[in-house]
Amino acid sequence: MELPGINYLNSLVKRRWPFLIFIAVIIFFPVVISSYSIVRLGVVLAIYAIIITGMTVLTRYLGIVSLGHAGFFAIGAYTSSILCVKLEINPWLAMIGAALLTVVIAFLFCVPFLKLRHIYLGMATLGLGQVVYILSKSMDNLTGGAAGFADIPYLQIGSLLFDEDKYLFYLAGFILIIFTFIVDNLGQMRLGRAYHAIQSNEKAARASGINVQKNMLHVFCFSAFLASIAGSILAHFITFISPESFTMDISFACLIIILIGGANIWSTLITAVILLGFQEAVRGLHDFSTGVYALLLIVTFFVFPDGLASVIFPRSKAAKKKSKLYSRDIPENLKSSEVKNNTGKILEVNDVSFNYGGTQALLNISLSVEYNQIMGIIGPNGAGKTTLLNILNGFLMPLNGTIKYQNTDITHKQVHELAKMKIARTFQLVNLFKGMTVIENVMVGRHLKGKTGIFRSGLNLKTSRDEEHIIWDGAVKSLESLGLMHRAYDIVDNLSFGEQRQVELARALALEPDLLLLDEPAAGLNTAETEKLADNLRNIRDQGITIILVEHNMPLVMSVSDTVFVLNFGMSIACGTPEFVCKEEKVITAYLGKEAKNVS
Amino acid sequence: MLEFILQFLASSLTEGCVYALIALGLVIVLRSTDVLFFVQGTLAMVGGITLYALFAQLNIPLIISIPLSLIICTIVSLLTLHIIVLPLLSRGAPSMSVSIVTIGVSMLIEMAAMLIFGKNNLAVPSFSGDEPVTILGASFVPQHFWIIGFTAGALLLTLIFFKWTWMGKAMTGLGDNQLLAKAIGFPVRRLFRYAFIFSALVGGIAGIAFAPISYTGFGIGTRLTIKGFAAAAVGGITNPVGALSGGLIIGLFESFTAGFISSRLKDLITMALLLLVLWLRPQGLFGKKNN
Repeated sequence: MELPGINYLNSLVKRRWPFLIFIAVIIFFPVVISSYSIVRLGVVLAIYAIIITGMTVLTRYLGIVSLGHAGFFAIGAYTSSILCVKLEINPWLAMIGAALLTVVIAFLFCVPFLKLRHIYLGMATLGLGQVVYILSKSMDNLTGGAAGFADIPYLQIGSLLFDEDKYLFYLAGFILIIFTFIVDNLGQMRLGRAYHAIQSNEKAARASGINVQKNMLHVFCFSAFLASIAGSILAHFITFISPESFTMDISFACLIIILIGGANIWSTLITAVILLGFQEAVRGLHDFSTGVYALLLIVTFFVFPDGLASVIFPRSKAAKKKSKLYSRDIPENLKSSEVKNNTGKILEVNDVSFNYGGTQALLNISLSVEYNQIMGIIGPNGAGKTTLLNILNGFLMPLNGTIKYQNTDITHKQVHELAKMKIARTFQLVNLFKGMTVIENVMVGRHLKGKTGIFRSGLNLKTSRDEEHIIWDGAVKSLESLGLMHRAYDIVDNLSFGEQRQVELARALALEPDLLLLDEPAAGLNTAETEKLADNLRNIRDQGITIILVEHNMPLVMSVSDTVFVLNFGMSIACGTPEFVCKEEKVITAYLGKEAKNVS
Repeated sequence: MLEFILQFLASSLTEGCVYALIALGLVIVLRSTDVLFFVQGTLAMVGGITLYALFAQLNIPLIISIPLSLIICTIVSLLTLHIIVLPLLSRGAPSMSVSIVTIGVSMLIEMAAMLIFGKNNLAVPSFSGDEPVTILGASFVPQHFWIIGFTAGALLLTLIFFKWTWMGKAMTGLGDNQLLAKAIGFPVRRLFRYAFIFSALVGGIAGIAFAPISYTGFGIGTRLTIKGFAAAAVGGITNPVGALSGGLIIGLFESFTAGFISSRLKDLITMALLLLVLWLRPQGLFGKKNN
C-alpha cells in the first residue's frame, strides 16, 4: 500500500535536495563538532554567509557590483549596539531598528546613485562604505572610535541567553536558512528572471514591462537589510565591535566570493565556506590569504566567467526541471477569458516631431491606426522609422505633439508603463536575454502577469506559484503558436539568427499585447522564413492584435498590410492602402529617385 | 594665520599633484579601454618601493635608479595588460568584470611586495637634502619642488601627446566604441599598450616623487587608486586638465580639513566630495556632458 504523501515527499526531496542537506548541516554541525574554535568559526561563517546571500542577488542576479557592503554591515552592528547599550533598548528591537535604519540609508543612497551604472555605481558604493568606516572610527563619543565598542549584551529569548556559540550558530543558521530559501526561489522565479533580464539587456527588459529602477532599488535595499542583520548578530556574538571589522577588505572579500561562486546561492555558499575556512586556517598568514583570493578571482574569470554556478548548476537543466512542475493543466480559476473585439482607433499620433541634437528625425508626423489592422511603415534608410517606433513605445520622448493610445494620452509615459498598457515590440537588431533559455526569454515577456515582490515570491507562497503557472502556460502557448517549442530549453545564444528573431516575436506576444510594434522582423530571414512570418503576422492580427510593421521587404509589407505609411526624411509623404501607395508619385520618387522615374 | 593658510596651501599642492598624476593614469586607461585600472595606485607603490631598493638600499644614483624604477613599473603594467586585460577583453568580458579583475591583480602585486619587502614602512631619502625653503612664510622642503616639477612635466607631455599626436587623439576616443575603432582599422592593441605604458609612467612618477615625503610600503596602492579616482571624478574623466584640477581640489580640501578640523577626517572629505560630484554632476566639474 502506498502511503499518502509519499509522492509529495519524493518530489520534495528531488526538487529541494540541496536545501534539505543544508538544513541537516546546520542542525548537526554543532552537535557533531565539539571543538570550541570550529563552532565559533561556524558562527562567523554563517554571519558572512548572510551578507553574501544578499549580495548574490545584487551582484550575480542583477549585475550591480557593490564595493561597499561592509558599510551596511557596520551600520547594522553599530546601530544595534548603540541602541542596546546607550538607550537600553531590547536587543531584538535594536536589531530590527538597525535593519530599518540601514534600509532607509540604502534607499536614500539609491535615489541619486542608482542612475549611475557599472563602475561609477561601484565607486559610489565604495565611497559610502568608506564614509561609514571613517565615521565609525572618528565619532569617539558614539562609536568608541578606533578603540571599539564594548559590553554589547547577549541576545535573549525568555530565559535562554545566547551566550554560547552553539546558540548563536543556530540563530544565524536559522536566519540563513530562511534567506537562502528566499534567494534560491527568487533565482528561479519571475523576479529572478527579471533581474537576469536587466543584467543581460536593459533595453529589452524595459520593453517587456520591467521597471528597472524599482527592481534595482528593491534588491539594493534587500541586500543592505541582510548585511545589517548580519552586523547586528556579529555585535551580539562577539559583544565587542571595532572599525577594523568593517574595512574595505571585507567588502572586497565578499564580492570575490560571489564572483567566484556565480549566480546560484549554493555555489556561493560552498565558495564562502571553503575560502573563509581557508582564511581562518591560515590566520597567522593573514595577508597570504588575500593573495589566494586574488588568484582564484583571476582564474575564475578566465575559466568560467559566470562563476562556479555555471558549471555546477547550468541554466538549461533548471528550466527543464521546471517543465515537470507545470506539466499539468492550468487550473480553471486562473484562466483568463478575455475576448478582444474593439473597433475604432487604437492609436492616434498628432503632429509629433523629434530631433537628435539638431538633426531633424521626424517632422510633424500624424497618423492613426485602427484596431485589428496591420499598418506597414516604409521609407528609405534614415527616414525616421525606428525613431517613430521608439517614440511609440516610450524609448524616446517626442519634442512636441501628442500620442493617444486607446483614448489615453501616452505622450510622456515610460517604456515599462506602456508595456503595462499592452504595447509590445521587437527590435531591428535582435535583443534577447543572453545566457537564458528560450522559454525563460519568453517568460520574461510575461513579467507583468505577476505582482509578487521579493518576499512573497521568495517564500514560494501560493500566489507566486500560481503566477509562475500562468506565466509558464502562456509562454508555452506563445512558443507553440510559432512552432518553437522544440527549442524551449536551449540557451538562446545557440539558436540561429532566424530562430532568435522568432523568439523575440514570441516574447513580445507573451505580453499579450493589444498593439505590437515590429522593427524589420524579416531582416536576415530567407524566403521560406519570410513566408512563414507573413502567415504568422496574419494569424496574430486575426487574434485581435494590432500590428505596426516597419519593414524594407516590399513584397511582405504589400501583402500583409491593411494600410501603408511612407516616411521620407522625417516627413510623411503618403498613407493609404498598399495599392494606392504603390502608385503615389512621391513614393516612387523617394524610392527610385527622380531621374529613374523620368526614364520610365 | 596667513602663514598657516599658506602652509596648508603648500602641502595641499604637493598632495594634490600626486592625486592628479594617479587620476591622469586612470583617465587615460578608462578613456581608451573602458576599464577602471585598479592597479594604477599600486604602480605608484611599485615605483616607490623599487626606488627604495635601488636608491636607499643599493645606493645607485638617482639618475639611474629613477629610470630603472619607471622601467619596472612599465613592465608590471604591460604584463598586466598582456596576461590579464587583453585576453579577457578579447574574450568579450564586460569592462566591469575586467575592472574587478584588476583589483585582484593589485592584491597580488601587493602580496608580492609584502613578501619581498615586508610589512614595514620604508623610508627613502630626499633627492636634494632636507633644508626647508621659506616662501611667503610657508616652508617647503626641496622634495616639494621635485613633486611639483615632475607633475608639471608629466602634465605638459600629456597635453602635447593628446592635443597634437593622432595616437593621443585616438586614445581618448577609443573607450567610446572599441568595435568601431577596430572596424575602421585602428591598431587597438597598440593603443592599449600606449595607454598602459602611460599609466605606468605617471603612476611610477607619483610613487617616486612622493616616496621621500611620506613613507612608502606595500599597502599604499589601493588608497591612492581611490583618491585618484575621486580626483578624476571630481575633475571630470573626459580630459587630462580635469584630472589635474580634480587632484588639486581634493588635495586642497584634504589639507584644510586636516588643518582646521581633524586629520582623521581627511579621507572622509574626499569620499564626501566623490559622492557629491557623482550625485550632482556625474560628468565632473570640468567634464562635458556625454549623451
